[in-house]
Amino acid sequence: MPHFLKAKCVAGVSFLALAAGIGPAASEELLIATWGGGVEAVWEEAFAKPFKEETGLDVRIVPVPTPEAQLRTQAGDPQYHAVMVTYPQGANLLKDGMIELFDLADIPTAAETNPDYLMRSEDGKLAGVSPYFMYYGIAVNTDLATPEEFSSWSNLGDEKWRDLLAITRPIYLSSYDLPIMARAMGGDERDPEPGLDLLKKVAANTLTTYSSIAHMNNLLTRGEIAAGPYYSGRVWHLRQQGAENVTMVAPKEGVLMIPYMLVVPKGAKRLEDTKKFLDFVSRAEPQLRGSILGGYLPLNSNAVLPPEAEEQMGMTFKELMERVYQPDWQYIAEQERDRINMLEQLIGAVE
Amino acid sequence: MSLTDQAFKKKMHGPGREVWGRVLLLAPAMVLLGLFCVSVVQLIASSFIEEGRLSLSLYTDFFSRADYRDIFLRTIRVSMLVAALCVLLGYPVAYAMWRYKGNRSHLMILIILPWLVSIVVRTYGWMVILGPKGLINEFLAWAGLVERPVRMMFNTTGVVVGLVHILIPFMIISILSVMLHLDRRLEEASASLGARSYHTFFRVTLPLTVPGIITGTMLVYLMSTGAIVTPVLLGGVRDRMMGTQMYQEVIQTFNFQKASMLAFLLLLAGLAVVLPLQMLERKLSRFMDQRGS
Repeated sequence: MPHFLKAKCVAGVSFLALAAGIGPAASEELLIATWGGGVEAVWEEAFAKPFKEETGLDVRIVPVPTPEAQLRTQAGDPQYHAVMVTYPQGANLLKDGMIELFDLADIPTAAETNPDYLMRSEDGKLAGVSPYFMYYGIAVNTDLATPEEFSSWSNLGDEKWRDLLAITRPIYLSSYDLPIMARAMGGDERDPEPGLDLLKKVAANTLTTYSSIAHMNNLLTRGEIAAGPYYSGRVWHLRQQGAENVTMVAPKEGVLMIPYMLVVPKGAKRLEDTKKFLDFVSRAEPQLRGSILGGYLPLNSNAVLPPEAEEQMGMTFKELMERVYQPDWQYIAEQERDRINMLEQLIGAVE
Repeated sequence: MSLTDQAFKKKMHGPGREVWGRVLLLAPAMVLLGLFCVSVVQLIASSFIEEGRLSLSLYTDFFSRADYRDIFLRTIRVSMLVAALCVLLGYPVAYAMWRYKGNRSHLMILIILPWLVSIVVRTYGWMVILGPKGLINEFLAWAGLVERPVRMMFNTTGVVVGLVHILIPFMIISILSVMLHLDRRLEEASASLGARSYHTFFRVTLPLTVPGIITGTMLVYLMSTGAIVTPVLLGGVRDRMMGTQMYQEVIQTFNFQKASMLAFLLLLAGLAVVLPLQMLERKLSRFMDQRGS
């Protein structure tokens, strides 16, 4: 083959390889999908950077609106090595066979996680790791309301908050708001009826549905709304960024505990490196860094929350654990579609 | 040169070459069109199949729910309103641009400038202006005109304002492109026959620019029916539209069959408006051709 022709062939093949995304750059980093709105920054500092320092392996945190959607739409050809999901989403992914399963020997530090929050398949394999949890309480804009005015979940139903609340999308309403409001009103996730009455009143007071973390952050800090059910870690992060007019309230009936999972899409490449990362995020030290930076509460049993974190939270870790409610996430995941349909109709009928 | 070579050359330079040239030029478009048609058929078919059998259950479920019927009707109502407002606001702008004596491209840059900014950022911009803590409400409160903020967003008004802002350039460009092809001598003829300027506008210019209005209306209406970002960010809790519902089914609940059903209904809602408008456009063109001849 003439030299010139050979060079052209090499150039052509290289171009095609680059176009197909088979370049070396694509395989150099472990890609982790998380939510945006500040979540990615905490992951970068608390987990990705220290991991690289220790192992030399590059990790890139990619913020996406719905990590679970990325995992599902890329089924068969996953682009991410691991994806952050909520516990009920993890349950649905496990049920649909869309994630890799591991033995405890693959991720030995996972043994330090409270076993109640380690999701396993029927044959006892790990469906991923659970590095931390947030609690779901009421975020309040202190320019418009006092924290005491939301000491109970039922306060959200008071008429004085008409057009001054925001709620989340139906998918999260079904997983978070309904179970905790049901619990607060005497029911639970299996008996949601008492919660539906309260949720109807809350919907009547609602100005808008927030579509992303950034959206709710904006509504809260600008004072477009006075309050809304929200995640503790997000309020923590907002306050760290200087939003002194936003605070988190843990109502007297309790708060919902939302564990988060890092799962690996079925067929993802570089499984060995990903296992190392999963093992790293299961450790106490990076989880505690996540607590300081983002208010994520560690699930490693050996992690001891520093006093400044407890001060920021307004209670001790022990006090918080006494108030958190951990529902049957498997049941919530199974009921998801029916509950979403029910809640859509409930909101649609509100005057 | 052999005889075969000559025959080949003759073939490649004769009428056959022209035909082959056209076929080759059309091939990429045909592949795209084929893929599009197959996808649309597959999309529609999946909404009629449940557990491997033909079924209308998704459609009956949809129309049996009052909230879904509201979403469907709201989508059509809002899209029509947005299209009408775009005509009312866009026509004078297009007319002024047509009349402009200077460099029209500078004005065109102003019209399309907002497209350089992300739709999310533009929509957030409206929150800063129309929100309960926005510029207008702050001014009204400062002036002592209102005690409570006036609701200008997180309701249908907000959605309509946001969509008009985003889609009006399409209307302006559609109308202007027709105006630029108008023969200005028609206006002169009208004036020389004693018609006043408003008579000339209503009896000559406006009828001749109706095709631009119709094209713009179709574009704006169709894009409004599928809007997602604006209804999500500027709408209230009861302002769901078909686009937002489809987004939820695809991205959050992964119910692709339901999303296909919603897409098909949206397609029908689009056709119900676009087909009559196209017929009207054709009739008008024929009518004007007859009058012209």
